[in-house]
Amino acid sequence: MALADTPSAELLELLPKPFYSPSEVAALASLSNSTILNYIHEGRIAAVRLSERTYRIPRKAVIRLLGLPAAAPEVIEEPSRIVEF
Amino acid sequence: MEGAGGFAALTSGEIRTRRDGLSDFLDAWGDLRVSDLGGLGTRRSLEFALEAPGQGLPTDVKVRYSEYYRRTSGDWDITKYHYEYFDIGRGKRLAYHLHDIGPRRMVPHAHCEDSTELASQEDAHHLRAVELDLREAHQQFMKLYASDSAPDCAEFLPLEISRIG
Repeated sequence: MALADTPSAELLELLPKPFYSPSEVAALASLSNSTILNYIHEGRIAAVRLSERTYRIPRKAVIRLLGLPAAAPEVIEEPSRIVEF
Repeated sequence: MEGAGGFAALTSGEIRTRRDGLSDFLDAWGDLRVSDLGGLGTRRSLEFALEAPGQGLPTDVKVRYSEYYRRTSGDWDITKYHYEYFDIGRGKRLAYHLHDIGPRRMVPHAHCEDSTELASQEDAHHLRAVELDLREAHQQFMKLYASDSAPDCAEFLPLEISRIG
């Protein structure tokens, strides 16, 4: 089965945590640690820096990197709405 | 042109670019809802509401980033922002705001307190803070989330608004 067809139950089993280390993501994506760190430094994958050498990557970013089905943002655009503030 | 609070005024195209760029940036962190209201009028709001981690896992944190713009000479000046973080498990709220307080214009400040929900109204307990861009606030909030830490409200000094004498 292609990764993109992974159903949500399998997604929960594959990615049960909210954050992943670069080495965990490297293993999931069959890439090297340095490639994942390069992605972080280039801004190609979202990450938060906890200390000088410690990063955490959010689950949704891992889902996108793996090419799994990702929920699209809900966008509401109402240009004619009167805004009060 | 520089608008209120030291921010550059944005053209309508720049506002759209900001909205779309931030949507893509924030979408990597959870379930995102974006609203862009009032673009044809003189007052406009951008709001990004995020629940993390999203995609079928129970929600741990909610953030809501709201920016409010007023049209001046065709371009959009930011007049206030509310960047809100709510840690559901700990019942803690941390927020960075920029808006008028009493006679003072565009005062950056924070709120940090126990809470049962994302705040929807301004409260009176203002704390000292510097002006932040949305991405800076988001990195701070996500660092708390990823390190499983509560906001340290004791690190903020109270904001003294009145100066007498």
